[in-house]
Amino acid sequence: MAQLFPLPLRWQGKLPAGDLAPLNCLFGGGDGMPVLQGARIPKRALWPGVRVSGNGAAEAGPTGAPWVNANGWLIRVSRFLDATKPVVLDTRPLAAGSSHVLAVADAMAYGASWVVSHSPETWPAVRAALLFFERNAAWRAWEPVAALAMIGEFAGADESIGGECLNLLARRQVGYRLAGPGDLAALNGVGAAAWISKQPVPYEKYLSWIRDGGTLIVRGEANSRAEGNGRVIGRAEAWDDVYAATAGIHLALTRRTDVLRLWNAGSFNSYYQMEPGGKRGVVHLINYAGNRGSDDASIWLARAWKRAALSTFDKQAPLKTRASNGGIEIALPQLGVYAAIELEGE
Amino acid sequence: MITRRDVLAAATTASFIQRRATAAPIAPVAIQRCRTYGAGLEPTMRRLFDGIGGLGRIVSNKTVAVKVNLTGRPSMRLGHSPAELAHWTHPRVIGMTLHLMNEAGAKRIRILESPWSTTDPLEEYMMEANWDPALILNAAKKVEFENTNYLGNGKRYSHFKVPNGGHVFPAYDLNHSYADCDVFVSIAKLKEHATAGVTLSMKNCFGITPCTIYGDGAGEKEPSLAPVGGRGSVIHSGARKPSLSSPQELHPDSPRHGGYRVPRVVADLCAARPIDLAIIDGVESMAGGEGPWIRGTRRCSPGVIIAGTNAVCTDAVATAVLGFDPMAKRGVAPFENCDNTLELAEQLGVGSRDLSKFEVAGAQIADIRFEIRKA
Repeated sequence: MAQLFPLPLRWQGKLPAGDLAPLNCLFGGGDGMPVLQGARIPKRALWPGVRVSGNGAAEAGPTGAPWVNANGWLIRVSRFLDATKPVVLDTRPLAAGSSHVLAVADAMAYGASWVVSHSPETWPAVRAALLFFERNAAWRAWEPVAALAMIGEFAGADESIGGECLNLLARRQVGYRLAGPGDLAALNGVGAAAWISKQPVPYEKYLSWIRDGGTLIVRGEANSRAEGNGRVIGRAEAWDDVYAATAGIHLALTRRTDVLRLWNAGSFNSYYQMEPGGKRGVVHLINYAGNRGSDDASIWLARAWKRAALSTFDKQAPLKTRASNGGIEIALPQLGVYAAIELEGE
Repeated sequence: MITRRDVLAAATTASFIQRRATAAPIAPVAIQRCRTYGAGLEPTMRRLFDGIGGLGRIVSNKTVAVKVNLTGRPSMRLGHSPAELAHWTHPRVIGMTLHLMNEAGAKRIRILESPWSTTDPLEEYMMEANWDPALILNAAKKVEFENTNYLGNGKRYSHFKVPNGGHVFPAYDLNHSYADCDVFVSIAKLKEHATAGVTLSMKNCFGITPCTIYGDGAGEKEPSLAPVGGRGSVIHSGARKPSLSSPQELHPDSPRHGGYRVPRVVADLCAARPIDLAIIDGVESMAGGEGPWIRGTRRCSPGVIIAGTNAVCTDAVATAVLGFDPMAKRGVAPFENCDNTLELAEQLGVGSRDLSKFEVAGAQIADIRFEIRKA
């Protein structure tokens, strides 16, 4: 029997009144539900949101886009390291008014769950979000749409650089997948891979993939060379300057390979997935500014999907698409904390 | 707010150079009605360039540098409008200009811009806005791009002295591409500007200053390796100096506000690095300011394209097309809060803004006027 996907409630003692479905387990004790067991609970999880400085202003990076605390990369790494265990984020609201719905979306869009901090005020919206993701539980098995494979151990010596690099790639809306060192099967369907492990690059393992047209991005300019139909691109950036390293990887990859572009959505991260066979896709749009809406965002997808619809927790509406630059562009209505663009091909 | 000190400072500087305005050079300006960037663009632009004597005499067998206007971040749009329909020069105008320059015998063309806070190649910047740079690269033989917001492909910055002394700086250090060309072209967008009143072919050249020297994150003694931020603290407010390796301000006690400084720096730049061909894309544009970051801005469709070989004359025509008087003084629209860049450039001998002194070919201003404040 398949393991139940855990939707835990942080609670002690007698359960709160009312319908608690779809919550199905307890974190921290209590009565009336099974206790959460067998989950992977990453310690580096952060309360999601735009990072705020001491004076209350949003912190911004060199490009002017706000820094956000987001857990998508951490969930993806956790699932990559152990696909057998569900991932649960144990984070607590930082302050009154923190968006609990954002915590749900930040976890569940990436196939994890959040330990719900219950309050009568927040529960109806949180419940709607949980039910939405449960209705779309199939998305948890869909693959990321990626132009790039990030190769590393993502643990031990590679944990820090790998994690921050993935976090920054997400801010650049770069579609990536994860691959272990030497795992050539994980490179099927992507044209480029970046070796971010601190271990030496085992070039011989990748030669056939490169010669078939692959691009392997590594550190050190001197490593650049052509190999058959492909090439090795050595980047000059110091790999321990993660911001520079990520920018360098994106430049080597080039925006020509972008699978998705966003405008007027600086506080958003996106996560683009496709079902096996490619007939349906979904783009999760998570607004780390929380309940502050975003006006006039637009999205471009490199694939010319036939139909698109915008789903929020309580409704769905068709979206108009227009052909643009080989793909489709969609003008989005005002967005809240979360929206999913559901896509259909032929 | 304009203080008495500001007025005196401006008057003192102007008195030294006022005489040059009377002798400012002139050249014909052409205007064409152009409603879309579609199939009609090519014949329209041919007529436009014919109206100023043809491109051959300007670019034949020459290396051409083309400064385009890609202001702001590529991830930012005015509403849902792609940047080229609001605040960026449209790629079809750039591509068509290159195509016609190629026909006219241009030897080599380099597209220049100083994109926001990055050393990324221009191609990458354009793609972030959803442009296909191949449309520009393939529009003519030997087209290349250079990001001029830093040293770029050069070994050193090129020094441009402002003839007749300059308003703010006596000289500017710029990316080598502004020196390594026979012909310098500014392809601008027809827009208002929150600080300078209007932004046309001359104001487009504000962006030729590298932020490694003139930016918020410029190195104190030497240029920084990469640009960080915009030009607010060095040029707009004068709160800090450019890198000390570059020429410093002539009048450090002059007013410290953008409405005084920005028009003067623009005039200086256009005197130091003269524009040989000014092209203003007003087919689609925006009203109320130069980019989506200005509150109250909105899309508009002036439906016009303008060109000339004298930037002041060309900008004077464009200012009039927008419904303003290019002879207007500070305090009069569109210069309510700033000095008139055209007047300051005229004082430096760059060109005349007096519409009675030069020919306007093609459409006439009165027939094509688009009062942008009413848009």
